[in-house]
Amino acid sequence: MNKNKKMGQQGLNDRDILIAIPSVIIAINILYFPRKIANVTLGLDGVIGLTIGFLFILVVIFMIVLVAKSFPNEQFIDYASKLITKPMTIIFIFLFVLHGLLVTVFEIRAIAEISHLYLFDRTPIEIVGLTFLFVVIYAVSGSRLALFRLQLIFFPLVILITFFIAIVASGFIDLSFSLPLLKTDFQGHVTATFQSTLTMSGFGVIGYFLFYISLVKEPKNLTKKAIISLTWVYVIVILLFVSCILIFGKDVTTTLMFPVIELARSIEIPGDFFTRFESLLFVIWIINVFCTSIIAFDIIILGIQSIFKKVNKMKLIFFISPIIYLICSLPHSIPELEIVGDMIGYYGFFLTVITTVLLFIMLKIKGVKKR
Amino acid sequence: MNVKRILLLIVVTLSTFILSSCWDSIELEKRAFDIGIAIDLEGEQKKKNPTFRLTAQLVVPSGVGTPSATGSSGQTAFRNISTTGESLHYSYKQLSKVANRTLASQHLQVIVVSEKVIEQKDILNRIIDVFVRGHDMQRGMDFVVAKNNAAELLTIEPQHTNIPSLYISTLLEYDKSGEAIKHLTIGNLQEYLAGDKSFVAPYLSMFQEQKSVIDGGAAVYNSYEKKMVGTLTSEETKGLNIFTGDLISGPIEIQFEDNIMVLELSKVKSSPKLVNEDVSNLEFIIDIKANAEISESYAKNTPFDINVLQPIIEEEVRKIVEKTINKAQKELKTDILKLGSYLEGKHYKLWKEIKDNWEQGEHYFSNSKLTLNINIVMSGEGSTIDAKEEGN
Repeated sequence: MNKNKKMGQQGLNDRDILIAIPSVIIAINILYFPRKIANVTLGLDGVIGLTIGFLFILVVIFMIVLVAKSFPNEQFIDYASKLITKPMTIIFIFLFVLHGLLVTVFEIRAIAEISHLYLFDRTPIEIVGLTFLFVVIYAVSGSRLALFRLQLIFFPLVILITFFIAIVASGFIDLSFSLPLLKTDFQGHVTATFQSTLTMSGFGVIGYFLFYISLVKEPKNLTKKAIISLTWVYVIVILLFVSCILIFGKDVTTTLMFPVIELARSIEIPGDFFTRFESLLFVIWIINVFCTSIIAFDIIILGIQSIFKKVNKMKLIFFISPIIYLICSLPHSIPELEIVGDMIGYYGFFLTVITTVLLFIMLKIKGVKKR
Repeated sequence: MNVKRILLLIVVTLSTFILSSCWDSIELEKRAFDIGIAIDLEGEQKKKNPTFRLTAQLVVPSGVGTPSATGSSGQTAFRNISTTGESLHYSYKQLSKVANRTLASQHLQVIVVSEKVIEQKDILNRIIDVFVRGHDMQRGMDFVVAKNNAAELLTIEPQHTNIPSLYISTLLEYDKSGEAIKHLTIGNLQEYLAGDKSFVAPYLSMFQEQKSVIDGGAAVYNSYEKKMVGTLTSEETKGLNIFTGDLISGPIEIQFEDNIMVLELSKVKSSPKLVNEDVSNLEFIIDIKANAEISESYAKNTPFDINVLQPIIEEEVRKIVEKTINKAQKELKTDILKLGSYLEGKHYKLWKEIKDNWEQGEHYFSNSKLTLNINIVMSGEGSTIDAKEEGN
């Protein structure tokens, strides 16, 4: 019994964070971002915007890590209260809880819509969404540590499949699609950069690590690890974007609803033995979206529990789940859902940036109190 | 406690009823895979929207047999069904009236469209939509244009395989004559249409008393007119393949000292270059490099320096390519030479200026000057070098 308790208390370690960052960021957003960027750039110029966006997110994650690791083993509510007063902290926590709720809703609805579009013709979207929600509920009712361990299992699959797609796709590329180079106007670059920042912040979910990093027991080299993990995101994003552009060209990428899924559909392994490759992509991506959903759901619980210390976790979950399911059913169509996605993206992105920068500045002014 | 357990047991038992089935499951034996689709025009076209005849070729698994027992069953391996309608998806659904299985297009291989269909303005972009929008089809399906009747091509009796559609799609992959167009997928087609680029498509026609198909020549689609404007003959297609560098291999006949000699071209590379940016006087130099090897010779087999053939083959290639250029510029007025794509890639500013007058209005494409710079290396003469003359 005693041993069990010890195991349960074993906290997050830095490796968990290393894996969780890319795993949480990569979700539905990756499936359609090439379209958003190809919309405003010519040829392969989107790479520039993606790189600037990556550097920007790198700065944000750097600040997040710096703030959070200054207060090891302290909850967000505790250390943020020291920096920006308690009422402000509570407001921010509520905003994050709302964001977590919206992200969960978006991911569930989106995966249901995509399954409907590509896999099931007759199975109602509501049923797919509900089933997915059940699995998410089951996951979050367990221990928090388990959620992070799950990411550890699943994330290598994502890397594997991305590289596999990119390698097989390299046989289908048409280099003339990379031209014209550097002919995008300034406005296009700005929009592309902004879109890349949204994509690589995963609709602002990187802000969640303000909550999690401070829970790490023995933070060591966290900054380096966070940078490495964000580089994974960058590599995956670049691989997929370049493959999309070189295979479809800018014009077609703009017209595809989910360019990355189309990418999986368009590649064929010679020999006719293994076709219909997208089915494999779906399996992996559904798992991946699941990984994002559980962390977003967990943020709701973590946030509310840190304010109302006495709330029972299970009761909370059963109270929130119907709300999530209800909001899930609000958008009417995929285009409408995408607008919702953009809204959540803007909201989460600015929330994360404002919170992080505010905390960072206050930390620099007040300094860490020596204990 | 016991009541709880019994309740739990009931719930678990009942849930098997919900969990065991899938809304979308259709057994394999209940599906009919269509492997080829042909689109023709139906009757006289008077109305605004033409009426299509859609023919689908379904696989009959029992007729396919195992590879070793091909054809022994005596049963045909395919079944063609067709309907008419003003839209393809509508017609496709109509097909289920005649098919006794659920139609599944996951393994659709080839789409044959009659030239009469795409000679109508603004039709190709409409009919292609259904093939890229539908999520169960692959982007790698082959697109071909049929001379006259498209459905006829699906009724041939091929020997190497039992199913005409499969025959056609493999036929497209094996061309050594250099007189057929590289196979065009639905994905490529969408890229051309979305980018407003003119292109050529494989052009198939019947031969041998309706029993086989020949893949030669090309159908030319003009992006401005939004319709098929003409065809290239086999030789013009070879010229085009040399011009674009797509030629994998192709024999060229030349006259050498009153005898015919056949040279095989390989490693063809071409790169266009804009040398005069003046809008009204666009001038391109096209570098064409290739290797040539003697593959057949009717000349006296005395040893000679093969490099003497170089000017002759270069002249011959120039003649072939210039014929194609002439046809593209003057007769078809269609940029199948991909110069537009080159300008868009390398001279984007200029391209934006002239884009709207490229194949229309001022016809910059037709009026630009193309200079060919052909350089062919004689790379070998096969395994015969020195055969002694006997008799004669």
